[in-house]
Amino acid sequence: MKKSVIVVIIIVYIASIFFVGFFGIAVRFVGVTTYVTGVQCINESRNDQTGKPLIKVKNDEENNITHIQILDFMEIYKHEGQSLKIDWRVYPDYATEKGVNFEYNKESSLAEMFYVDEENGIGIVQGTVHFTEKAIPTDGTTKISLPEITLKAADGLGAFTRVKISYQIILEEGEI
Amino acid sequence: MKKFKIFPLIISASFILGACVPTEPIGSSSGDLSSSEEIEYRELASFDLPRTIIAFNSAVDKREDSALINTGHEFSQNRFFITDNSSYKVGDDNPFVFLPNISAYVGDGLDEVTLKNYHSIAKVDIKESGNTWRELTGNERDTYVALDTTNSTFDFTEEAIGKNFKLRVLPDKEFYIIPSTVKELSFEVSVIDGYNVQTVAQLSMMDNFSPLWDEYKIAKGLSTDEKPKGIILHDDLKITPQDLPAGFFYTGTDIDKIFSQSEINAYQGPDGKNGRDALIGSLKDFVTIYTHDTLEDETFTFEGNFFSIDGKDIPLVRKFSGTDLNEVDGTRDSHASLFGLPGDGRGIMHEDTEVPIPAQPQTIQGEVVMRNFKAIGNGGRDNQGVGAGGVIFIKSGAKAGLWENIISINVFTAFVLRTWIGIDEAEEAGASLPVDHVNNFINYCKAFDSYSSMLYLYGSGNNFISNSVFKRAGGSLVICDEVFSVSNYVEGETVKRLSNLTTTNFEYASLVTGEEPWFKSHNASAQVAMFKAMGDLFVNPLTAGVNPTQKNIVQTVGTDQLINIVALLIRGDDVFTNNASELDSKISINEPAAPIDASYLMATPYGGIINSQEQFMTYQASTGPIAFFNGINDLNFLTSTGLEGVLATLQNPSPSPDNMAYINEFFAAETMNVYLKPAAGMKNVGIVLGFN
Repeated sequence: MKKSVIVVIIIVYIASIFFVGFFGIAVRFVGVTTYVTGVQCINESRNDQTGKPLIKVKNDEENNITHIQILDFMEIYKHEGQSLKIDWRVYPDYATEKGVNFEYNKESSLAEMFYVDEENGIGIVQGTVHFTEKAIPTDGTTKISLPEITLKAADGLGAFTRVKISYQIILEEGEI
Repeated sequence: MKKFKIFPLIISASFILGACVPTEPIGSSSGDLSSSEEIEYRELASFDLPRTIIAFNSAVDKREDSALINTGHEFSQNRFFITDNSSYKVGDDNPFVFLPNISAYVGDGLDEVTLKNYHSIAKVDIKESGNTWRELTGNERDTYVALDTTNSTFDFTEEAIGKNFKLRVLPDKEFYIIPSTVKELSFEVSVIDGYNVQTVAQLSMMDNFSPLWDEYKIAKGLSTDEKPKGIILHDDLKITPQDLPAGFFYTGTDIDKIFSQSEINAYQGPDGKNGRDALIGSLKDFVTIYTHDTLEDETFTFEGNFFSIDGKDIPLVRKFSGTDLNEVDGTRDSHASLFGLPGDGRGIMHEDTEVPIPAQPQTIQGEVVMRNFKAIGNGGRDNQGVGAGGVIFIKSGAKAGLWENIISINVFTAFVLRTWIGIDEAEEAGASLPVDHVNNFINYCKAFDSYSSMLYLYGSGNNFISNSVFKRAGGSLVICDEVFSVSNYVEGETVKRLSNLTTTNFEYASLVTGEEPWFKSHNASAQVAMFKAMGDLFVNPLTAGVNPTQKNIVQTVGTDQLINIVALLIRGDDVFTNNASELDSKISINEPAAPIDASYLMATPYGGIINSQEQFMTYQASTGPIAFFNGINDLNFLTSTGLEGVLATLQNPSPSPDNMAYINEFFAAETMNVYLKPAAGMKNVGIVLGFN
């Protein structure tokens, strides 16, 4: 084993001792389920590489919905893999089952414009909205409001949040 | 761009966001069309199915197949079972709101506002033979349904009951610029007799029993005279204390009247909330929140449309009936329930609620059907005893009940099925009423996490569980409690009310240590420890060839030794210690060939081995005779007495071939039945334990 690997292991080990000592570990009981009590979308507004506002995020806590506005959809479409990450957290962090299910109207004509992948990571979980070729209408429509997506905790206790994505298509000369 | 003036739309002050999801029922003041506020919108942004309908469609799509039961499949707490009853139900008693999720742009950017009503073009088709649809028009449409194209409601008539309709809506282009992406929305519904519930306030219409609801109903503009025969859910509902009559909870005045100041100050709740503040607002024991008393020959129907009722914010019971406020070692069991379908009202309400209890039993009551919904309780399995104050999900005394495709999570007990009524009256009339005249059917149900049991049968006759999954009870998964009471009409006669249970395609798992609060408060931990001690008999050490798959009633998880207590057959609520002269009920867990049958035990001479009864085996243990058999067929491989005898047989270095075959047949079973007869005059108990 490389020396550096051993050093890293030792550091992690020592850090974990301090971490547990300081924060403690959540008490759990045999056979006792800790349910998800809240789901929160944690996307944030951001700019594109030139510093121009690209994503505007508005959290409406009262109505438990997050609006994600893509101000220049072509930037996402051309330079960010035709996709948008949705990030969320579930509470509490030590919930027994942290999974989240997506619900939206898959029968909607707008549902042809996108699909959603769910990716479970460590700590924070993400979903990716992939935009299809139909995401850019050919009839000159420049603003699209996609169907509302509900992120519902899979453990059945009912915690959820909602996400609404809308975007603006700013076509350059020569683009369809 | 041309501007259209849209008059009915109300937006909240949070205009900056531009998206307001309606949180109040349609017709509330904030969504009233009579508002003078006028907003100009340029164009619609989106037009989608109502959020609730999307949730319904998702629930239908994600249902699970009951064929996966007992195959190792991990069943979701969020998914219902596939049944042939999944159409969307709508009631005829009041308008059904079908308001699409519709938004309009505000300004020139992407900001949107959600509309609480809109101008629509609405159409209704009727389903005809051959599964064809025909649009209704003119008087014919009026026969079945009245439309409100602005509030987007469909008010079906009695003539529509039993028929299927397709609702079709589209924004009226006379009023809006409509994006090319907006298409007509359609949705199929089946009309039944009942009241449409879209808000938690409307759920109070289910209660036809407690006068405590009257003031609340009047305040919410609901009728106190209307008695719906059915309730149909159209949204997930969350119940808070503000949604319930004040009379259900203890006030400061109540507390001062009942307890001394020292008692109040000394009160320590299991959840860490102590003293007076914890007691004020706590739920009174024996309260039933929503009660529907069915009349004779009436069937009450509760259709959930796969929505949920969330009761986790309902305050806990803290003063348990029959116990002192600060008694921690006594039986601490909540008797409060979320839904009550009483026979005659006894046991449903308590004098603390100031609701009169009927003096005499009424006639045999009607039937109940509840299906397709999820209930989330305020209790559940925990290790501190908080769940002792949780609500029972359903308490029924109806003469017949069908509980279908229901999910129960985190309640004190999921189902308490009982009978009180009819028998006395029949006796008075000289009739010979069978003791098992009540039938309950639990089909395609799931229950997860309860403080005590999942199913408590209290003299409820014949009960059946099929195609269902019960997991993680804090006590025995099922309790079959026989009710023997003195006849009101025939001196010296005892009325027996059996609690028979038969299950098929039933998945059960309730691994407990025996130290859970429910066992402790029922003084049953020692007995569980005794059963767990039997685990050594199966594995330690075994003769080669005996129990080759190492089956056991004990499972070791980490440092915990767990046991799966599937069912208890008892009389009385002290579980293991009451007196009882006789038990007659039968429990068959997925193995109808040989149910646990207490009559075998009753026929057995006390204290002896019963070779004459080959239905089971019995041993003389230090605590008294214990008999058990495997639940599949008749076995009698033991020839000596006592637990020591069991051990001797299992460890016999050279059991006869016959004995070996019997022993391994024993271990092929799914469950093991134990008959416990501790001592003369003590309680007889039947126990079904699950093998690993």
